Amino acid sequence: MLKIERKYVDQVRQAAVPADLYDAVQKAIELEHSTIPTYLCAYFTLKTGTNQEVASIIRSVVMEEMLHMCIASNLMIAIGGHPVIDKPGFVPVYPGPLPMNIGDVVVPLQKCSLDLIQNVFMEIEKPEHPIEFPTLLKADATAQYATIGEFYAAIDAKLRELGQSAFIGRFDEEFVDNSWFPPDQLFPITSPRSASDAIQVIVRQGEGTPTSPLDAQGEVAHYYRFEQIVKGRLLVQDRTEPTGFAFRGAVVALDDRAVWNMQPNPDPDRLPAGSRARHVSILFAYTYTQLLGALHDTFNGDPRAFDRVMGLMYDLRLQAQEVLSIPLPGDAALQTGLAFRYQPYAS
Amino acid sequence: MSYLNLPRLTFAGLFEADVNTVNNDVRNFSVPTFEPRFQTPQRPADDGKTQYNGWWNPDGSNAFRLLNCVVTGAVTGGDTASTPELALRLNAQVGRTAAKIVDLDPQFQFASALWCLRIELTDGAETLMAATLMPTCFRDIYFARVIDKGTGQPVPQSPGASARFTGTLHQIVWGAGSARYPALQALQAEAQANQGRLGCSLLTYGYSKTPQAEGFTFGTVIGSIGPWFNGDPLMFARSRRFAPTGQLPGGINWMDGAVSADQSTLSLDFGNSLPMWLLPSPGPDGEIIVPQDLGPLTVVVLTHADKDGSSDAASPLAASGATLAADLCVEIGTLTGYDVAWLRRTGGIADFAIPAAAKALIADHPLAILKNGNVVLIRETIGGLFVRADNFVQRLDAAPTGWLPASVSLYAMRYGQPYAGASLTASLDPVSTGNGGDGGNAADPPQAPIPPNNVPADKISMPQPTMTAGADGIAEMAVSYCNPENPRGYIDGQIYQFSYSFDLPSQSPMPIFEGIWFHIRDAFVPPATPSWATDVAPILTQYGNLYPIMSRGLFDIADYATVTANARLLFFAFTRSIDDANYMPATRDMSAGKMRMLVEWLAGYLPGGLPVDAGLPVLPEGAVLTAPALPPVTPAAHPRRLRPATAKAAIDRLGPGNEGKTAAIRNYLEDIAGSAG
Repeated sequence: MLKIERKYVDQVRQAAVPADLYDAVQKAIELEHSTIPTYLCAYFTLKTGTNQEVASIIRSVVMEEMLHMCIASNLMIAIGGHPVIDKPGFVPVYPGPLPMNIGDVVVPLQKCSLDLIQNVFMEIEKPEHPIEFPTLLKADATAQYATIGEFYAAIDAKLRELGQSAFIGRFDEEFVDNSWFPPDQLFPITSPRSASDAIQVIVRQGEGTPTSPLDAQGEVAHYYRFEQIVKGRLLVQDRTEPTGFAFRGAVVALDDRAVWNMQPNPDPDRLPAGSRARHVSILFAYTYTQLLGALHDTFNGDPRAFDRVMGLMYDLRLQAQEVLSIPLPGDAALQTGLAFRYQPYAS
Repeated sequence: MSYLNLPRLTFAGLFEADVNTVNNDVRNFSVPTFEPRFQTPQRPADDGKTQYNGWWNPDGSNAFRLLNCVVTGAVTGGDTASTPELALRLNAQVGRTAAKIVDLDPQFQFASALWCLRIELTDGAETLMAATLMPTCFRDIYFARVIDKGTGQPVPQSPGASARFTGTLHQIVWGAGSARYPALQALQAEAQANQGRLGCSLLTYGYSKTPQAEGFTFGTVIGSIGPWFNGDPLMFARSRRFAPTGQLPGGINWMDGAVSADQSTLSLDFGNSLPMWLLPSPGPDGEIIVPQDLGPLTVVVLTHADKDGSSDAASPLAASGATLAADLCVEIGTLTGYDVAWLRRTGGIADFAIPAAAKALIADHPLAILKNGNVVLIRETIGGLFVRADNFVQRLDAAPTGWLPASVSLYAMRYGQPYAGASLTASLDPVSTGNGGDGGNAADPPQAPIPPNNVPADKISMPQPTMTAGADGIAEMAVSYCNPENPRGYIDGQIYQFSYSFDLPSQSPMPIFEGIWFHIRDAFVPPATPSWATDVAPILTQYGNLYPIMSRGLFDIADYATVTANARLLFFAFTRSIDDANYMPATRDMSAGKMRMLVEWLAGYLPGGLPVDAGLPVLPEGAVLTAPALPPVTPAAHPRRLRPATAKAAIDRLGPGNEGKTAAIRNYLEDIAGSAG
């Protein structure tokens, strides 16, 4: 479970006007984005055409994190704020904590492995109330930290409290093109009700519900989705189990031999000057930064810029293969790594 | 005139051209004879042969990227002292997908085009200028330009070559901060006076095709941004053209110059012209490819004009290699110190103040460049004549029946000025064979035959083979074309090459690849209900064969389940406008009819069906059913590009190897060399 500093929840609760929520919603955008590089990195290290079940699981989570980032950004627009996505500092330093986190989960950029999925990805996505585990949190007053669920619940509650008057944004600048995300997941946020529905999409897709590993769309929540890789089986309905589910579906095998052995937490600046590894690493980071720029445009008055985002996503994937195919200079056992960092210049 | 004129901003850095090479060989388009090994890199075979397979970069994506680009020079009016611009960086593709570099066709690979390149100048705080380069092709490719200083031998193939991509910037946005930079202010004023456009030229050299090399797929780029004037062409600079007289000049290539409107400044582009060294190890500035030092180069204007257009190219007043008497010329200036730092700072463009004595002559007398003070290295064309086609590479869709028009603008110039009333001629080239193969000496070549080009000749017509330039010096070369009816079999349409020149008995030779190329695609009427097996799969299978990056990097585009599962994404890519970096196919060689069929078929797999605002490919309209009067197909007598003996010498300079452009240029040169009799 991702533990966040309690002050963020407190800030939300103390908000009196929409502008008081901008910092919190910006943090939500940053948080929703912050898992994408580590998930995407692991996904890219799966050699194309191999590990297809694992790839499909991670990819599906990445797409939903992207959706969540879009929802949080739409929420910001709805209450009159401006998402800031294209700026230094928007991208966390890997390895490191995620935004708002108290620092208990160190998130790296690494090749896909069971260890990474179990100890990082599942830790990030662990529900407040995992079905197999007892409730971890009993009361706010005694807690040293808050949960993402609480954080979003606080925003939801605050928006209901502020009411329709909080929705002062330019709704037509929200990104609601259903070419890429279905209308029951991406829809205009114009009221406390639609905001609440949108927040529920984020929370449920991530955590499921306290009684089911499925979200409202019937999809397996992220934590359990990743757990399938660790258990080596898809999670399927099983009426013989008290929970109604069991990891007894088709095999999900992670074949380590078909994973690029990338250098963890790469730093292109440490690669030899003039080397191809450095050139393509920097261009990869640059393309990733351009993707953030296109997202920024999408949520700052040009919703159609999302077409550019999609193009860049595929550019990034092709460039990832180019980077990963280069042996790391000085260590032939490793491949050059994927540097998800803010890279405003291709140099 | 464009990048040759002032004000001018120069930037330098690296480019990446991640070209795909499976399509270097036209035979790889043949689906029935395609073998899986054609998606693997070439490898040495027995007897010194090469098994080319997918050539040297089968995983290429066709992306074109810029890296490490910084502003290296700024000149506003002959003054280079004030250059606050030197702190600026240049980025490409801010917020968008990589630009693309693609050939017209495997059977014409000598005008690789840049598509969708958008550049931004930034001071780190804000964008000062952003601009899009209109699609443009390289020209004046100069093979064997780089000489290995250790061996004295030319560096073979593309790594030893250079070329210029000259084009037009548009969609320009200026940041408020640009006011702090004199050169940017001056450029902004020029753009405002000229339809919001600027001129731009990218000099590229030192490209590496060696997969093991650190610089693989990278090369050096030096860009020059200058004015674009109303009436200018979009894909070259109106200029004063320097050309060899009768023989290849001494290591110097065709080059361009321009005199400013007030006749105060002569700007000469040595950037793509001077020979270069490949050093055994990087020099003091870290560069390994540097200009050769030919000694001081004296720029002069001749005191006697060539007789207009009728001079004998074999014995002009001042021929390459001749010693020029002092009384036959007036000196304009001397270029010295043209080292690599100078090249990076200037793009190879030198600006000379024109002295009074030269000013009196310069408007109608030829220029020349001398070495050793009096030996002609290269000179302006005979009579100062220069004709160049603008939109010289065209992708055309044929109609099922009838004829459609196309036209090319030919710019006639004399001493850099529009040549009103110039008489021009153009004609379809004779049948050409062997293009897009491996040039022989290959092990296990593909089994498909290499189709000939320029046939059938009666599918394209030019009713007026001679033209007269208007007051603006421009003549429109009008052609009509009809459905070529799949003459190449396994690859769509046909390539038709036209040559053009002044309609004069004798002119300076033109560079090797100075022509006009049409890819006329086969007419294709989409079936009402296309099926996967019959209609869609053949197209996507060929596409998947040629672009292994799709299946290796993304997904298998020839697999029904995969394609339908990704229908949304493919629909998106196949409905982009051609100037969108996400356009598929990146090679931009699919006919509107086939594209339309694909799009409509894919729409069947979208949740909502065909979107109302989908940008469907437009099928050609307006065909006339009457065939134009066909002139007899007799190629006109255009100036020889090279003499057979010179072509032979050029083949020797090419060095060993036969991949990609080298194979095609060898084929081309051998045609000329073989015509010696």
